[in-house]
Amino acid sequence: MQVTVVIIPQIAGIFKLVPLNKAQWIYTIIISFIPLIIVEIQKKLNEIKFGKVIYKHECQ
Amino acid sequence: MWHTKAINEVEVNFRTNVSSGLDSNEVEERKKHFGENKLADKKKESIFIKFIKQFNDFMIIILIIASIISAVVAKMDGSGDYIDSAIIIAIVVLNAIMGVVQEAKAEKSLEALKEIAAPVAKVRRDGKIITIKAEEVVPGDIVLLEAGNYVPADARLIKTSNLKVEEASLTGETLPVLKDENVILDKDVPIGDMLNMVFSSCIVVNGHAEAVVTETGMNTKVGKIANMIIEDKAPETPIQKKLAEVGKTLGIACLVICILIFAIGLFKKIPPVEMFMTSVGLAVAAIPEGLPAIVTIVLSIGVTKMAKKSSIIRKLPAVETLGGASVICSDKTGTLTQNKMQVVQMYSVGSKEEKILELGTMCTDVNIETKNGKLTGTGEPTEVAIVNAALEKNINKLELYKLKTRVNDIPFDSTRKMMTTIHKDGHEYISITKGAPDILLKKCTKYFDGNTELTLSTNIIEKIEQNNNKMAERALRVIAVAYKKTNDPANIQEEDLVFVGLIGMIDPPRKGVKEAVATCRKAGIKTVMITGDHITTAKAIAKDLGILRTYDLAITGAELKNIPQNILEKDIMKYSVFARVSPEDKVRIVKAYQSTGAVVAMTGDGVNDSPALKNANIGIAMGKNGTDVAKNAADMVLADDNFVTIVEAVKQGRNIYDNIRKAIHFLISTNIGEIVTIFMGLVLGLKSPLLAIQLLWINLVTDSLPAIALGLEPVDKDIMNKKPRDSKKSLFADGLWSKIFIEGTMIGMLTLLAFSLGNNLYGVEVGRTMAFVSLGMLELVHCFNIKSEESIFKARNI
Repeated sequence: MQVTVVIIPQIAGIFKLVPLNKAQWIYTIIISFIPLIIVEIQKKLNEIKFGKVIYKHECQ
Repeated sequence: MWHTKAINEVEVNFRTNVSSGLDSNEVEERKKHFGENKLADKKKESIFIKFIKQFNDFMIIILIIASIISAVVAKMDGSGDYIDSAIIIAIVVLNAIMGVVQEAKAEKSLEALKEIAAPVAKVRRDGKIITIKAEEVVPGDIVLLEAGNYVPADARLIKTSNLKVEEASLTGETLPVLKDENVILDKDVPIGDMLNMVFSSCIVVNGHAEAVVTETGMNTKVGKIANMIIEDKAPETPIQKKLAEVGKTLGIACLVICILIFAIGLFKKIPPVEMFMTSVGLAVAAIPEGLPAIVTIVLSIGVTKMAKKSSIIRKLPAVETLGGASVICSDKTGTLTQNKMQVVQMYSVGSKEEKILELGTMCTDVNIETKNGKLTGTGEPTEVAIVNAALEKNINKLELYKLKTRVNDIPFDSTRKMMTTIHKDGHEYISITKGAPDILLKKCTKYFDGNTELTLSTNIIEKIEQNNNKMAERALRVIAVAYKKTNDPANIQEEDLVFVGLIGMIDPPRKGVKEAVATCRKAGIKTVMITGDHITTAKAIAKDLGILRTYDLAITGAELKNIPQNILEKDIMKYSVFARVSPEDKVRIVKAYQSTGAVVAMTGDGVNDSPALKNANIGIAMGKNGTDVAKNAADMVLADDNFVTIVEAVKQGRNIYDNIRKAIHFLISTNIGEIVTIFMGLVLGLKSPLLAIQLLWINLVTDSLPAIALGLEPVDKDIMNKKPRDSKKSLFADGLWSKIFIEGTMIGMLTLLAFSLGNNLYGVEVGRTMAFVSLGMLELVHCFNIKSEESIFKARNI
């Protein structure tokens, strides 16, 4: 939905957005995927340290 | 006034017949004339009203004011730029449409649930007894009432047997009233003294009766008491209450931040109108006003899914409690077992199994019917087991009776513990006796070895007794079969019998229960068997199912009575089987488990189970064999009475809770991301990284859909490998708040990075576009990160 707003010029104009060139798209995509890498590393570290935990339920 | 009339007068007045009931045509006519037998619903809101109500929100009102201010400023400065205000209005309208659609979806799910859980009534129509929805009952219908039923409408009694009705909902009197159809009363007697009448929504606590329906729907006594109209609105669940509190706190915090940002903006000489719009946009972006709506949608769609899997949630908060269940107390018969005796072992001293079954099946009072194209017996469960075992070997009792006509019998009685049937076999007669092995064996002098009758020696008797004991140790119900040839069918003595064999039978566990118990153990849930059956049988089944293991204990109701409550509470976790228990014992058991901090799910079916069901954290009533009273007291109804369904419901309950946590995690962290973007942009002296309308679009349109998707995630494959969550723990426990703040800050800082990069290299418009696209994509990536505890590259749901 977000991308649609940018790539359709008429809608982009309403939201005061401009078309992005290839380099700008690449920067944007790289930045957007940084959390994926960080969280994947965090998940891996958690798995090594505790087994499988993020939403951990404690035993009563 | 019907209490002043004799039964025949009522019958004539309603043009009905007490022995055959109304006919179908008449029922249709009366349905048209009297309408449905239900209390008037609260007037439903129209779509338009629902749409208008979407604007009754503090943030939405601020947005509308902001759009008006924007339009006024555009008019005053002569720029004529009304785009901002138009977009704000468009977004607000779009948001309202989405709200109406989501609300309608949630409402539809809950309506469907109400439909499934609707009460039923037994009536006589066209000479047949049928079960119909209570709302289909019409005046003149003959209703059949029994203990545990709700009375579906006001009715004049025509036949009673020890009928006692609890009328507290009408009279406030909790003691049940003994009813009598034969009395004719004065016109002015109060409702509590109308002994020949029963009233809608009262509970039959004892006996059974038949009655002619006199009033239905809003014409009933209960219908006339306006205050008694049942409130349709579902109560708020603990999560919803918690979120309302969190929402308020976050809202205030956000408003403070917005005011701060506005002040900083003014200090930095940013035009006040631009700064006002940014602050408003940010306030709307930051306040997670969509949270309660999303939780309601997730809960309502979740319970609809559960209903499709035979667990009907009656009280919405039960969904959350289910996920935290740590003890499941289940009835044995019908829930853990099939409630159907089956022959599982036979023993003879040389006779073939066919011979034992042939004689066994002839010595029964079972009827044979064709069900689903298959012959099957109906009657006393033990006898049915023998007849069905015989049918499986193509031995049909009815065919045998054609060859060996039954001419006489001595019925079973509990003193003799035997029954005998006498058959004409050609020119002679044969008497067949079946009964308790210890009694029957004493009556035998010979045994049949497959070919001939031989004398029953001490050695053979010992052998038979040993096998009988082995079967009993396996908790089998054992029946011995013997016969005798005779010439005098009128004078039968149950003596000098010829022993043929033993038949061992049991009510076997239901399919999948053993696996479900194992699943519960892995999930940290203790399964407890509670039964009225004998302790030997209970222990055998419990061992077979894995409920009773080496260090677990079994106890009877009588032993339980001698244990003080404080000692029981201390030792309760040692017990896994409670046999011969009464409904009162169930309440003690529930309370004892709860005293350890456990969240207890308890099954029940009878009227007397209601206190235990109410006391349990999750009361579960049986849909097939449960009484209306038990169903009403329960939080959940099992449509198939199956233990496996309870475990499935716990799994779904855990999933719904996890999904709600995921949706909350996503929504609050992305909102924080948006605040950080704007706030840090201003602090670092940058131009506003996102305009108000851009923020609004992201928050009101693009945030909600991933949050709903997270809320509807399928069950994670590891969900039953975790221990139950601690019911005292907060929704935000296990570091959820810190995770939300860290991830939110990361989203905000990365959006700011995208803006700075674009702004520095290509100018402010490209910077804002890059920030806008990045924020949207970051939210999407964040949604995938939250989706599973495992790497998204290997996460699999089941």
